Amino acid sequence: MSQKSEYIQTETGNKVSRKSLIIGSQNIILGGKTIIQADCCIRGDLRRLVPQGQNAAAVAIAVGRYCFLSKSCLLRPPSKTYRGQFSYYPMKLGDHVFVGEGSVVEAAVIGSYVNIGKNCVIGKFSIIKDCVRIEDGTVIAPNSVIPSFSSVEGHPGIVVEELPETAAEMLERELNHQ
Amino acid sequence: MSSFPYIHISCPCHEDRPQTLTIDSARPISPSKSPSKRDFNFSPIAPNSPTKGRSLLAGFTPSVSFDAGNLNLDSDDEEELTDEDDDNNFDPRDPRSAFSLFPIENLLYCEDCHQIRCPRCVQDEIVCWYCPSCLFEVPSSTVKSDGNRCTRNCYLCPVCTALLAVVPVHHSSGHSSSDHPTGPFNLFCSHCHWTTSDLTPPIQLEKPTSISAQLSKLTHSPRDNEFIRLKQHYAQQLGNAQEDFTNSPAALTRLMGLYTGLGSGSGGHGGSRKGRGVKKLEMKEVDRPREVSEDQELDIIERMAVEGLEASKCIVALATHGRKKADGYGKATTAKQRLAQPHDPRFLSDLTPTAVLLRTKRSKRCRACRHILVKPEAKVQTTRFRIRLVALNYIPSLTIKRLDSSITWDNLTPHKTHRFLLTVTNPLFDPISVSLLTPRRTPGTAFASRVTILCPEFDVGANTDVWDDALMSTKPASAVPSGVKTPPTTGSFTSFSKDPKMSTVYEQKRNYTSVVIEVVPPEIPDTRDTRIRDERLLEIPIYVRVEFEAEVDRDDEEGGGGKPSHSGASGGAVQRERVEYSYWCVVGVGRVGDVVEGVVASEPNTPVRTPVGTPVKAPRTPAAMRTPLRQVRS
Repeated sequence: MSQKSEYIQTETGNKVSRKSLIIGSQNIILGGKTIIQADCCIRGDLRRLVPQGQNAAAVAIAVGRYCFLSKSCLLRPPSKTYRGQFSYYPMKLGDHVFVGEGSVVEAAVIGSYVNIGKNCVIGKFSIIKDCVRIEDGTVIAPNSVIPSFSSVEGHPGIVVEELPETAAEMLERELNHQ
Repeated sequence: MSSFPYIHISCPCHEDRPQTLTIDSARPISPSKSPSKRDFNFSPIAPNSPTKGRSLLAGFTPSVSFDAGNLNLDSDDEEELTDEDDDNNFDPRDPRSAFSLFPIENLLYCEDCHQIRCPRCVQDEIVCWYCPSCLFEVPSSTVKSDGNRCTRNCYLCPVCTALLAVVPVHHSSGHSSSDHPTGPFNLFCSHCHWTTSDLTPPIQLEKPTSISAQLSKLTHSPRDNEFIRLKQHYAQQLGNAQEDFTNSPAALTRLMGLYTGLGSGSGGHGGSRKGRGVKKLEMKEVDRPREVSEDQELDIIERMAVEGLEASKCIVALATHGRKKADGYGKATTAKQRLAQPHDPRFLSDLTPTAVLLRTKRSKRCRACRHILVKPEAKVQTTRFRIRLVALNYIPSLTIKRLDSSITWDNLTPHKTHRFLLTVTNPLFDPISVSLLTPRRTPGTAFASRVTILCPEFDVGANTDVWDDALMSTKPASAVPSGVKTPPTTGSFTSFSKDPKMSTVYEQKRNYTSVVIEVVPPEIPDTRDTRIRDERLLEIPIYVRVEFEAEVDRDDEEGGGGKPSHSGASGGAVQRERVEYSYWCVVGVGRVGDVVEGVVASEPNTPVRTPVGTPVKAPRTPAAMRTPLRQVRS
């Protein structure tokens, strides 16, 4: 019973916990069938600074379909000072992305079929390609690129294993069993 | 080992017999088809005893067998196998087994050999090289000439292996910075904040681009010259020898002999090798030993001594003040850092940024029949495959779940009956009938656990479209093969009593069936500290045999089509043929924990049964535990 009242279901089938903290929801796109658990924080308010008068390209965080954001994880758009101006940059997540409990994500792009474990830190502007598994407790350094079919572990995260050809199915199944 | 539970499937290559032989026999040259080139193509791999192959052929079942070791395993042998016939049982603790056990995701399937192929029995071919950091493809000619590292701007921190970023040395604050930041630049690790300015002659770059060229100028050491010299020398030697080293075994033995000869003949290189009628071929080593300059070595020793002194000071400081962080030999490199660098740096200040190693996309071939099993698209950024024959799409996969959620995987209670739910999922478009056989006691250990599969023979529906589900429920079960004792299955959900009674499946849905497996682990002393292998690890070998009727392929069905199989299907309009195959898998159920007070040897609770045998009333579980598990469909 409590399960029903905890989640709000959107038109496209996203399930968002009432206990999650979603700031700047007008700048957030959820693709559909995405689940956001309690105590998740999504910082849609941190969007690109634009000069007065211009219309901002409003998307700060785009999340694909069938994603799963576990309890108390944080999605925050990456930021940097470029040409003397501090600004946030948009963040994009693909489909079938799992973010484990307590992980902090500041990536620029995360591809599809990406499984991020518990208590990970995905550094600013990092790019994670499709079919990647990030083990629990990994810290991915800022600006790093993780190629497809990698399993990443460590502090800073390095590729420890190449995933087999079935990685997409494997990661999708892992996501469904969470 | 990975976390429990895990299921690994044994690749047939674990058998003593070289796999190529069995394949040879599995694909008899069909009368309709002249021996093709590939029938002979694998001769370099296959050991040279065709007679053995023949003899195997005689015993080989006409159908597909996944397990080369149990060639003569017919249905009559089941009892034998499940009885104390240890020779036939797959022993997961056998040292050899470790090499052939893989999760199903890692296995491929050769359609031509009808065999599982593990990473050990495929041959990789590089499709393209690319830098994992900038994701640019590197042509193989560049790899040959410039080595297997990124020649663009990708460098790793030598201290922590994170990616380095180019930053201007002087942070021009705020507005004054124009469009182009001005140099000099250094490489900065945003993970550990190491910069190239930390080096003893600090490396500073003039431009933020073409870093490789700039760095190679700045960090050119005598060792690089040495390497270039050696490379030239051996390239020349290899060029001379090219004609002799064709890919024949004879050349290989010659090559080996060459080197052993070199080892014995100290001084005169290869001088002792002339007598054997081998074509005269001398591989000259570079005759100059590595030069060690004494001054440098002394310098290093001195610096190490200073470091040691500081370290001892630190320890003293730690002892007296208690607060200061003792970082001892903090300026010395760790073994890992040292090994990553070509010039063997002793101190952190000697480290140089390392260029990113390239990665490859590879296609995979079956070693036996040379057919391509995996072929990725050549573009670096895509994850698609042109050809992808993975075992997941061909052989039924097993999963195991707890029936009783109070079971902790890594702490199983001795003498207690643990119930698990073994689910067999069918990836094929034909319904299959499955028999699961397991040794009554887990083999290979003095502390055998008792294992019983309550319903070892059952059907699994076809992997039809989800929508067929609704249609199937109105139709009778036509596609299910007859002659199996389980209740008739339709593709639709069939509700069996959730009481895990003998000889009934626990649950059956569209393309998967679940049965109950009971495990009673014994009391096992904890040997992790004293022995290499973990006696408490509970691994159950299960022999999975699958039968189904498949439509016969046109002409490339040599393996099964050579002889008509026993079930007939002869001469119908639609050629259907009974196919049978089998494989061993190992279920890592968990670790046995310490003895729990109150749980006595539950002998009456779980009488010893024959696995395929007569129904024995299963111990009743409390109603709360009988609630069906949530089924998760992928």
